Amino acid sequence: MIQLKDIGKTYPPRQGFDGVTALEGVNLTIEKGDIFGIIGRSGAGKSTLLRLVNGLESPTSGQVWVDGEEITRLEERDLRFARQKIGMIFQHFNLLWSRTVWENVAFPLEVAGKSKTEIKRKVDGLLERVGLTDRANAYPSQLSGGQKQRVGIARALANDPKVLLCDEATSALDPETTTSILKLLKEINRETGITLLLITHEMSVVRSICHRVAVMEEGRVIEKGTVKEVFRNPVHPLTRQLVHQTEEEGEGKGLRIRCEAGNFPALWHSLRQAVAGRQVTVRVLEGELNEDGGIVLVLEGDLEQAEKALREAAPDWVEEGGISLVP
Amino acid sequence: MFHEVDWAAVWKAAGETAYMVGISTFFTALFGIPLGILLVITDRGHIREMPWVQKLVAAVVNFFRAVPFIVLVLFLFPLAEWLVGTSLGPTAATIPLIAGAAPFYARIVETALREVDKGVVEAARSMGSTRFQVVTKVLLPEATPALVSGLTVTCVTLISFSAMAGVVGGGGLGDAAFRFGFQSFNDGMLVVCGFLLVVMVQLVQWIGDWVSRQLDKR
Ligand SMILES: Nc1ncnc2c1ncn2[C@@H]1O[C@H](COP(=O)(O)OP(=O)(O)OP(=O)(O)O)[C@@H](O)[C@H]1O
Ligand SMILES: [Mg+2]
Repeated sequence: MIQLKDIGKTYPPRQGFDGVTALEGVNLTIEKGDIFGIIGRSGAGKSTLLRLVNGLESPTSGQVWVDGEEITRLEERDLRFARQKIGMIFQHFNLLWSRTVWENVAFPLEVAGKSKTEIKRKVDGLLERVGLTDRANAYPSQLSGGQKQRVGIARALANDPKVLLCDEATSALDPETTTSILKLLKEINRETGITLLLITHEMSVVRSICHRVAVMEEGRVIEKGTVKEVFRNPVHPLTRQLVHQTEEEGEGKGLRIRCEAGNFPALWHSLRQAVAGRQVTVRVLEGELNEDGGIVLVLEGDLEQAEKALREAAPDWVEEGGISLVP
Repeated sequence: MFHEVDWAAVWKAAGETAYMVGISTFFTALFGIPLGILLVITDRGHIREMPWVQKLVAAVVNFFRAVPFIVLVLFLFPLAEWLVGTSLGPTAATIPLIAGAAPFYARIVETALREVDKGVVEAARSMGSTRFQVVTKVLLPEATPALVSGLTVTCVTLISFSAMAGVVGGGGLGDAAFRFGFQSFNDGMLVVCGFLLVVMVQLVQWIGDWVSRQLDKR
């Protein structure tokens, strides 16, 4: 769906600015319906890369293809039409504060010259989809960050795009809101088959929704592959560092345990009762079977409480439960 | 002392001032807004980069802002003859008033438009907006409260400028205060005309502030 071929991007020097090579030799192919993450430190060139995809920026060398069209060769007019089929959401939402929620979502439809009745039908449907029907007449200043991003998503989806570009879409949100926005994006991907390309500097975002990931450093893609591969076997030092960081975050917050698949239903059931009232939440970390048939769970929250809960749920866990602590 | 006040002359003068200020405020907005838009969008990194146009417009605007208003009045009253067919009275006075205020307002418009979040412009472009749509659907609506409060300031300035233009032959309250008040040693006239000018300024300020507040959804 998206193809970047040998992309280079240099911002030329001008008065008071030395010029910078933002991208160099970037090759990426993103399949239709994929959720593709690009991760990297600040200044790695992620935003520049994303902006190439809808032609907000043009590369110094190389080609950008989206849905069979070479974006880099389109005329102004055709580029505008192409952009209507490429949605984009932003870290700071970028809503028009002079328009209501409803009018904000109507904006791209007005731009595309849709009829009044069609706009109404579309906007109502989209607001329903993102759960903001009751806030339709509010102004952005009256919304929470999460709600603003939902408006941003509804707006980006208005012209039924094939691709949705997300530039740090959850970086300004708290963890819970981040989770709900990511969930929404994931659902939309599943329902519509839209291709998601998202940029982030948080590995946890990649981990929770992406299928594939590319790691960027200083304008180059230094590692790419499925999220599973990259997490299991990070090669480049930066990737290792990023992967390590998320693991540390996970560890710091609670107790990680691995249980055998056969014991999982029983353990899950008793854990649910044991954690009630303890400020501990249970999460299935990998959501899939490991090679040895184990499932990794994390009991998030206070470590002591988590241990107590585990003891209560499975008193003889070490001997018979087939449960072990993951270091 | 008010028995000496010639109320008929006062109301006529007030009407002339309102007329002068009204007309020139309208044309100031009419010229100032496009100029302000031009100053912004032709700048580097904006939607219609044209450095030469930008520099040229900026130079013209700066020139008119640098010339003292009284000089504009003296030079442009004769020009009014050619433009509006008379070089006397309130209509003629609108010419230097507009020439003085439009560049001033253009700068205010420029500042207001630059305040519009770059991200919102980028969002609009990412949705496939034309440049025209960016201006009409994003820049102007988002900046409207600032445009209104800027126009209020400009209008207040126009009231005081109109008093000055009046003295040179434009008519209005400034002229009345000068001729019937100051020159005729009629303090009553002077006070009444001055007071009416203050009332006008207050009124414009209140209305402007109120409208701007209503429009501001931030
Ligand atoms: N318009 C521009 N003019 C000049 N240099 C730019 C411009 N935009 C980006 N750059 C430079 O290009 C490089 C990459 O920037 P980019 O915004 O793509 O990084 P990023 O990975 O998105 O970083 P962040 O996580 O901070 O958003 C940086 O060195 C930046 O200074
Ligand atoms: Mg960025």
